[in-house]
Amino acid sequence: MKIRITDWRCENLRIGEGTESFELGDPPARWSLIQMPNGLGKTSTMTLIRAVLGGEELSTEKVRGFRANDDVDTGVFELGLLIEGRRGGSPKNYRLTINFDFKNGSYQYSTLRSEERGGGRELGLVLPPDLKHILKSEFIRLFVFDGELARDIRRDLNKAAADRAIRTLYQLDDISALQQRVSYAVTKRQEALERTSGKTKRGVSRHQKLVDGAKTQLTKLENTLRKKSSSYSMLEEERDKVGEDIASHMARNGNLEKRWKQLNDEADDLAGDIQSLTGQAIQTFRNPATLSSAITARLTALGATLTRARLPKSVSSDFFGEVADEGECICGRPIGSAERVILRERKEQYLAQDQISAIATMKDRLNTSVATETSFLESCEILQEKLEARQVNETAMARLKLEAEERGDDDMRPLRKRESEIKIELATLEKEIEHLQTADPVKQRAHQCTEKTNIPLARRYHEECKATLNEVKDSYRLSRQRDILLDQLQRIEKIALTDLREVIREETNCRLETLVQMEDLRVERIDGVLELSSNKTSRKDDVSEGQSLSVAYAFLTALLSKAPFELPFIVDSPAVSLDLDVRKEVSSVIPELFDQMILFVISSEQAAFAENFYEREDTRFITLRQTANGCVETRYGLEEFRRQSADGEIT
Amino acid sequence: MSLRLTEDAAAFFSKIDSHRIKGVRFLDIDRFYACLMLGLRTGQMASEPNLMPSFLAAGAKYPEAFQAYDSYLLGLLVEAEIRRRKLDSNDRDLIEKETVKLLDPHSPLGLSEDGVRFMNQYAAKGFEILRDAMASPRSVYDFLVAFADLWRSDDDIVSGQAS
Repeated sequence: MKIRITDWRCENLRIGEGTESFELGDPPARWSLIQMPNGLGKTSTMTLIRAVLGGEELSTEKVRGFRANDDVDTGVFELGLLIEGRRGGSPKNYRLTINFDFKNGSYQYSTLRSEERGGGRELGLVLPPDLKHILKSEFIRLFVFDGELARDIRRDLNKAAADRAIRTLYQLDDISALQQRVSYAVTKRQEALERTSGKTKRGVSRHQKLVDGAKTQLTKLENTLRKKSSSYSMLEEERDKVGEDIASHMARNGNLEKRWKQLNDEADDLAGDIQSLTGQAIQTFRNPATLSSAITARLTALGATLTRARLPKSVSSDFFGEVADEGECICGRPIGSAERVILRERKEQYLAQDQISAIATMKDRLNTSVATETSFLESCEILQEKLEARQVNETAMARLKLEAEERGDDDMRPLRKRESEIKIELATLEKEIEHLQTADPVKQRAHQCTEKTNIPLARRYHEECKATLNEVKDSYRLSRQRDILLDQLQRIEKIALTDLREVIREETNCRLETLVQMEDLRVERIDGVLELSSNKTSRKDDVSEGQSLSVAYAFLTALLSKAPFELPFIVDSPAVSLDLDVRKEVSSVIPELFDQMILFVISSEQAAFAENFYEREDTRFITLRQTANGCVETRYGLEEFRRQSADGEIT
Repeated sequence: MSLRLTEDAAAFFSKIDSHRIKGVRFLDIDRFYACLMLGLRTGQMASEPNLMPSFLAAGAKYPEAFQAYDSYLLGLLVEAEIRRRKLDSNDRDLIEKETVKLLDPHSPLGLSEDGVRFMNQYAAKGFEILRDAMASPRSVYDFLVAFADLWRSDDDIVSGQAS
């Protein structure tokens, strides 16, 4: 991606005359030298270029510091960019703008993009995402560069700053961001688990134990049920056998056999009657009209009330709605807008058609609710008679068995006793089986069932434990996968950083070979400060100002040249602190380091520095000069640039 | 919102051994209905009953066995409300308004939310009467006979509670 600056302009700012425009050519010249005497806004321009590129936050004091004078309330700074995408194609124009409101000290960033249809201004800085990603203020300082600080860059560029520059420019930050996203995603996923917060190996084994325990308990209950069901079946068989034995003993007792048979037949008939009468009673129970005559009376009374009150009313709200929609009433009178409003308001006082229908249906049913069938009470009366008859039958059978025993049938007593015991045992077993297997929540609650005593609850508990275990396993697996991934990412990041440092170091040294020809000066390591060595000494801490500046430029250009971005290099006062020899050396080399350089110079930097650009093609010279009457003029061209130098700087 | 038994009522009926009756099922709605009838008859509602989850599925109509009687249930609810609130049964608009408040032709049970809530409260009160009058039943026929006795001989008691 190639980024070039085309121009910038300002309105009502403390730059030049306040409202100025700086055109760098179309396409922009490779070298632009801008001669601005001190006090005409070099520092402000650099600050604003950095701010608008990085979308920096500005304090109220800083905003007001840009104000040209007290007569203006608003100001604008606009930077033109030409951005060529990674895939080539024609470059696109962007205009990044800061609008200032000096009164309240506020500002607003906006962007104008040439490719946007209509050319509308968008709030905020809208740049290609790849570019926006690297435009962080610390990094911007490396290519919108304060030349006066160049001497110290080798000393000041500590390990963290060098690493941060490499990380930003080569997008290693993306790996850090990915690590954070992985951790965040895993944490969120684990937080979203419904059943557990467990995510450790210990948690897995603890939950495995719970599953095993639940499974064991379920198996135990199922075995118990099997045993009790088997006992129940055996007891039923025994009961039938005892019944048959009692019947055969009765058969041996002459006339008892006939009475026994009669009672048994009667019992069978009664059982059938009770079944069918219960069914009939339920049917009559469910119909309120047959449940009780009192209810029937209430139903018919309500029906009569509705009839007497002529409810439901026959006119529905729907009718008035329809009338309101018509042009005239059913009586033929026209309906105007006033009548229409009233009709629509008052129709709410009437029921909707479906409400009327529901009430009408209810009324019809109430008025025909006279019970013609057998009533519930009658059904229950007969049912009760049958239940009493069954009681009498059971008593008679018991008495008959006693009679057989009294006639000397010695086997009858133990048979009766056993029959009675079996009945109790069966009832007990039945209860226990129900406790074990009922799935009815009401019965479970009534029997105080738990997962320790009831199979459906034990099964559910087992399933829940398994589900929880699966969640814990998933969570644990996720934690392990996260740790492995983070470890790999950290390794990738570390290796990439080390390799990049080495690449940049080598590139820096290549450049130093050209820049510092008198001595074989080399960067030994990029770790902490830039550690230097030379052919004369293994560790070289004491370097000249020119050498220091050369190292700084070599490092910066190496850093920027290997990046996936071609950035402009903007520097303020690149040679102001250098003596003439060093200037000459530096000015002969650095112009070739960047595809676009914008150099802010003062007149004193002409000698042995700016003058080396005079013969270069593709150079634009811009001069700001203060006139005798105090105004500031902007002039383009070499002649004006040289003249300013000759006149000397006005401070 | 749908029909719901109180927790105590559910426990009260839990001992019924219904599987002994072949071809007949004594449903949850039968239990609710038994309580409701007593509550409507007495014209009293329980204030804040402790209700179980509904025994009907969400959006379900009355079970088939009761579908023919939905108008009666609505009518009995309207009638009980007129009595409970001592409304003038000759006031045409008032009776219509009261009826409309309790019905919703588009809801599964034909009842408004108020209608369903009131039904549950009447049933809860009815259960209190039932519990005072009989022991927890162990069979359907025992229950039916005891319930019939309540209607046959308990007229005075129920009316007395209503007053």
